[in-house]
Amino acid sequence: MKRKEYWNQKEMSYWEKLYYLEIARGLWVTFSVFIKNLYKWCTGKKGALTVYYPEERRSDYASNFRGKHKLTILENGRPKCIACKMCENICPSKSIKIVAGKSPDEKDSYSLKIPLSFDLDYASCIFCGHCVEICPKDAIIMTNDVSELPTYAREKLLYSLSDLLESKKDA
Amino acid sequence: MIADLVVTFVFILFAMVMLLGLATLLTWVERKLSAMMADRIGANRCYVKIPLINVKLIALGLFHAMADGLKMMSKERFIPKDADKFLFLLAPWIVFAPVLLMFALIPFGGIIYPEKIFGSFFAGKAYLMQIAPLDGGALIILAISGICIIGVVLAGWASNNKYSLLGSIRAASQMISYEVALGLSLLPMVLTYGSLDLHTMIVAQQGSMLGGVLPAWGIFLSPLTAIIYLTAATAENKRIPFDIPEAESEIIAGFFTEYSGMRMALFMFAEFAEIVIISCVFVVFFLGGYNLPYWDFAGSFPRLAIVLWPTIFFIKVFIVSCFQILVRWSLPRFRYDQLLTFGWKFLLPLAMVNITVVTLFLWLVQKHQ
Amino acid sequence: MMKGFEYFTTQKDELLAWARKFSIFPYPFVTACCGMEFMSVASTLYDTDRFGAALPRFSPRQSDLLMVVGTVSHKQAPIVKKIYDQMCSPKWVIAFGACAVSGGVYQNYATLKGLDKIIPVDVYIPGCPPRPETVIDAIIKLQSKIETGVSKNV
Repeated sequence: MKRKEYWNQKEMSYWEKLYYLEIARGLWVTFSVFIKNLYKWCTGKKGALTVYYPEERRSDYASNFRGKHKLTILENGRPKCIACKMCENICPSKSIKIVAGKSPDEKDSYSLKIPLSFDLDYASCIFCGHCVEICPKDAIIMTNDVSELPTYAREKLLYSLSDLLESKKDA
Repeated sequence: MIADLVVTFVFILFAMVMLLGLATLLTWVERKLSAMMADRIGANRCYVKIPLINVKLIALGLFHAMADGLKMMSKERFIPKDADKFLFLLAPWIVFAPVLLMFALIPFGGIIYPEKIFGSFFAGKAYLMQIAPLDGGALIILAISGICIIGVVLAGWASNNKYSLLGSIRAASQMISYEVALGLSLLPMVLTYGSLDLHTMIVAQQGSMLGGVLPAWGIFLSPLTAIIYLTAATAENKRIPFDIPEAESEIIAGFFTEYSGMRMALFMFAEFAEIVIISCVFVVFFLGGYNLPYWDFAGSFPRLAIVLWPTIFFIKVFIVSCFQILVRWSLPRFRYDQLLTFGWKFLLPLAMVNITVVTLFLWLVQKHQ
Repeated sequence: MMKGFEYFTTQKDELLAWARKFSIFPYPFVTACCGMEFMSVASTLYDTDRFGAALPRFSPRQSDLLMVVGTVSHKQAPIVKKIYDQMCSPKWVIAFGACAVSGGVYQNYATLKGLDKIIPVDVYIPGCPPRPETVIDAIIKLQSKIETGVSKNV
């Protein structure tokens, strides 16, 4: 079938100048979609493409989707983070602030440095994933989860170490 | 004398309830219809908790229309500082009142004899189910529909806002250009049926043509006239595709930019009530009014006719209103110069050619008889 | 039976809150890339019409909810303030996207670092751009805020 080349035509063709025929063609398209959806609703099936968000969720998130962050832990419960501050330096919007300290275990074989506080400000985070890419110990990852992000106050968007640490059963 | 007043009062009550109720229902129908045409479902989350049973009642989204009305009633009533206060407050009513007046001329039933049911209070009189049975019905409808233009211009002028003024001037030029085509499109039907009275037209559409296959409705006698009428009436109503006065993305909200709360709701309600009026006039002129196509039941069931005539009439009106909503959600908007070109250079010559053809046809038919 | 009747008639504030909760006319004040996510929320797959928040009214006198979508620069800030002042009460404000919440990734002389420096904000939506599910979560949070009647604006 020959494709219509609208961008080459300067004027409407004779057939198109009779407005009503083209209008009738457009009305037929919407009317047929309406009747199809009405039939689906009347026979009990879901006649819409909408995902009813709080009750239904989409299952086709990409595997490398960048959602909320999580700080991973070793088997003994110690966070993998060694407070090297590479993520703080590379963050484009300077949302991460780390205070480094000495590990409480004197003979820690993993590392002598541990983050005393790890503040991630979601108010300015742009979810780029640079902090995940540059971490030398895979201590910070981004999950598929974006639930409960909106808040009533801006201060509540500042997540501290205890909010970001993953629990033992997720490790 | 008192019997006449009682009957007229009952008709007025019935007409107000049906008109305003149908206009409110159409806001819900528009939401659902537009949603189903777009593969989604419309508003369906407004619930009312029934207190003792602890059940959340969602009536397919009907409560959203109620919530809209309540919310607009409780909004702050705003008048701009330098606006002409009297005209600003008067303008919504000038747009709304003629719409209600037009319904007085439309017959939603035939001739009834109430003494058969209600006894000797109505001593032997026959009433036509029409609030104002005037002789020049079609002409008066056209005259009243021209008053809405004044309201639109007043609303734009009294707002002291350049966008409102632009919107109202565009509205005025659009409405007067399509008013001519509207009048000229009703003229062939007046010639065909031979009178201006609306009840005579409905009576003339009983029976069938083409040897009993099609009912003798106006839309089968001259379909081009029906299409021209519907186009010109949609342009009078300022609906898409002739949406320039309230074009949302071009001039904010057109002539009702500065209105908030219930006054804005009056404008929108006048638009929906006018959809119902346009459908009523269409049904009377072209779709045979309150009669069923092949079966004249008024002779066989005279008492049932009182209930059945308005029911059939409003079902037909509902279908034509749904068609208008389908047109609104399918088509894009005309540009302003395209709109005026369409009105004066395409529709008006078409209407005149239509009149000439119908007149010739009627003369030929009369010559053969 | 009397208790049921009283529930509907004497709780005037609850009735008004119910009406305002389910009929929101948003004013999408779109300035930057977050506008694409707003369009995607308003269309078929994730629908704001289900909550009653579908009809955008582009006049500040007629809308309830000002959604500032995208970056606000210093040149644009007086315009946002003027639009906010022109809105009729009751009104709510949503800051949509990282740039409206806190200036986002831009730390220069031209960007306003957060919308709450000029107008009081009710719900903050972080993300660059926020996923449509997050926006719907924010609308549900706004609905519960309207229901309890606590607002920073009148």
